[in-house]
Amino acid sequence: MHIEKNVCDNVVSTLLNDSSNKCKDNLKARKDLQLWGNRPDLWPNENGRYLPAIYTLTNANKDIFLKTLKNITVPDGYSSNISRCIDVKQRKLGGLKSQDSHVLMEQILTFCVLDKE
Amino acid sequence: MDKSWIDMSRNPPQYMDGLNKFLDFAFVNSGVRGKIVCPCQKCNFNKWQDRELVYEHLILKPFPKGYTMWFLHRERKGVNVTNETCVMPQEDNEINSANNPMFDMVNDAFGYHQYSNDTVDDKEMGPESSHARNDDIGDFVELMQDGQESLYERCDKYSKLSFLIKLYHIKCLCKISDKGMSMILELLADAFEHAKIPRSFYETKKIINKLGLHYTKIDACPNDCMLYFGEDANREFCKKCKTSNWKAKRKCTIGATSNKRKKILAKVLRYFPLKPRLQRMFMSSKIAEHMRWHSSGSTNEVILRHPRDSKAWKTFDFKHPQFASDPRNVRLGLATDGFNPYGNLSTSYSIWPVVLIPYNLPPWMCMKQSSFILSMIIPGKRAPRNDIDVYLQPLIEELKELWNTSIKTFDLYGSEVFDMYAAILWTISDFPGLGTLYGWNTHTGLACPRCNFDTTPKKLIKGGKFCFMSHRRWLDGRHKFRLARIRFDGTIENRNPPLAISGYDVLQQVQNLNVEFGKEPLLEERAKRQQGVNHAKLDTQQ
Repeated sequence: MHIEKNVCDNVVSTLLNDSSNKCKDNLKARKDLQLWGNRPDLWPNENGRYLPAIYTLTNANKDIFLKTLKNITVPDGYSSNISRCIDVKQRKLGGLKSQDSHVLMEQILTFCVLDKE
Repeated sequence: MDKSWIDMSRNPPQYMDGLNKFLDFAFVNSGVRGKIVCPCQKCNFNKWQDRELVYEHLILKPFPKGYTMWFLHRERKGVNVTNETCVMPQEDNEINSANNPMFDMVNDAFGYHQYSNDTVDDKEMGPESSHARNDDIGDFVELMQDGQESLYERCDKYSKLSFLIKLYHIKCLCKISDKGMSMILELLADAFEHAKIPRSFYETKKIINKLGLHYTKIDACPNDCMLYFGEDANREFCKKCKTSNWKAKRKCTIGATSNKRKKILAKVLRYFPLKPRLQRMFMSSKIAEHMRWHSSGSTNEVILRHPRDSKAWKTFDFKHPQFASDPRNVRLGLATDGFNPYGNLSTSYSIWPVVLIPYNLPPWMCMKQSSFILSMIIPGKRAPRNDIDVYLQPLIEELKELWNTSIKTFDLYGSEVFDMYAAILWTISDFPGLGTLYGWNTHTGLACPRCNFDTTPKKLIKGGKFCFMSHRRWLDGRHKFRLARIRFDGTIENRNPPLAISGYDVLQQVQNLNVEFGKEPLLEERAKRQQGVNHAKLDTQQ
């Protein structure tokens, strides 16, 4: 339960690339890649800047992703009303219960991410 | 009344006369609708029989030898039996005394069914247990008397014992404090003067305590170095850190009283002996039958509904056929975790209760709180961590005995004495708890106890965490990910998954380790402050 919730938080915030500590695609991770000597395309430069990874969404894509989530209606008692957890303006996702994380990971996220392509 | 006939053989006419006298007495004093409780070996004071049947039973089977005070047939000390007026048999009375659950409970608790058995059993059980039983008999008689004594005159509904037990039950359910109980009892005793209610909760507990199983207190070194147990029971100072097992006396402002103050033990382990608890499971009429469920209960190969359907259980049976041959041998699980008894998350205090789970019981019973066996309470402040081995000593000793040499146990369901063995199948804990129990460090790169040393952890220098990149080892041998260098850590993965480590391997690893138990002593708050002051002084001097 906890692990699933944590993974869901990490995946969603990595996709949305929000600057909170939940996002795993950060400068430290990139620096570690550099130390590892792997994937030179992802390495940061001297100023600590780095290029977006292939899975990072652009703002337009984020909007599509969040709008899809916003439009979802679920049957009664299936999960909480996920569309209420989404803040399209600030491009954020918050206030999910652990059950919602499960639904998101198992079912919703798969087609939301497919929508992007 | 002359009761010498009880010890006689059953042939001479004196026995017949005595028996007839007993029957006269019993039917006058405790007969209900022409029936009494039959004291014979087979009925065991449980069944109500008429006169002819009781007479027949007591001719065929011996009269119970120790039963000279006929309290179950309403004989009282100092009461002139012949003049006692006969209690009018009433319907309520019959129902109460015939199916009195209190008697059943007391009988179960003391295994009374044993006492009326032949003396052969006594020899089988060994001299120690029979001696212990003699001690118990006093308690048993007292309890039975309390159970017989009505709460007040002409009260058929409640005996003294049943009233107290029901009150105690309410106390436990509603979590009333001991003080609250004392106050209620005082009020009750004050209001109903003729009722036999004890004045304080302490006295109530004294009565009810006799039903329970007792625990032992074992002193421990406050720094977890050793247990004052076995050979070291009479020591005063720790073998390793030389700390006293008494708490340091506080400096008292009034000098005279300080000497009189009672000494307080620094740390006490509360240990609940396992053997009597297992024996009681077989003595209880409600549980004894279920203790062999795992072999007799219906099986369905497809459904996993009890650990007995698991592979581990079957492997255990295969490896130890002698143990598996008797379904009454007890299989246990051991669970432990730390918790803070003070309910206040800001105080750091963790005690570690160790709980044993009897897996012989059916699934609807074995994981209920009521069938768990609390084995010990490891006291806190600090979690025991690796030093848990010190505290588990008494349990391990008992388990070794239960594995190597059995103990004689009376099984009520089969009504026979058998040799009981017991084994621990597995332990239940969270991952840090596993580190505590298993002794494997679960924090660094080699955290996984299953992979053991056969893993390649990597520390992320910037991220400050460990990562385990050898997960491709579990893939199919020709999986394309095994060759994908760039997508993973830049290597080709050729290795097979790590081999499962067996108990023998673990033993090989651990055998020559010299583990030293014990921790650095905890500084008291005052000492800490003092230390802080000293540091500050040093700083200013420099």
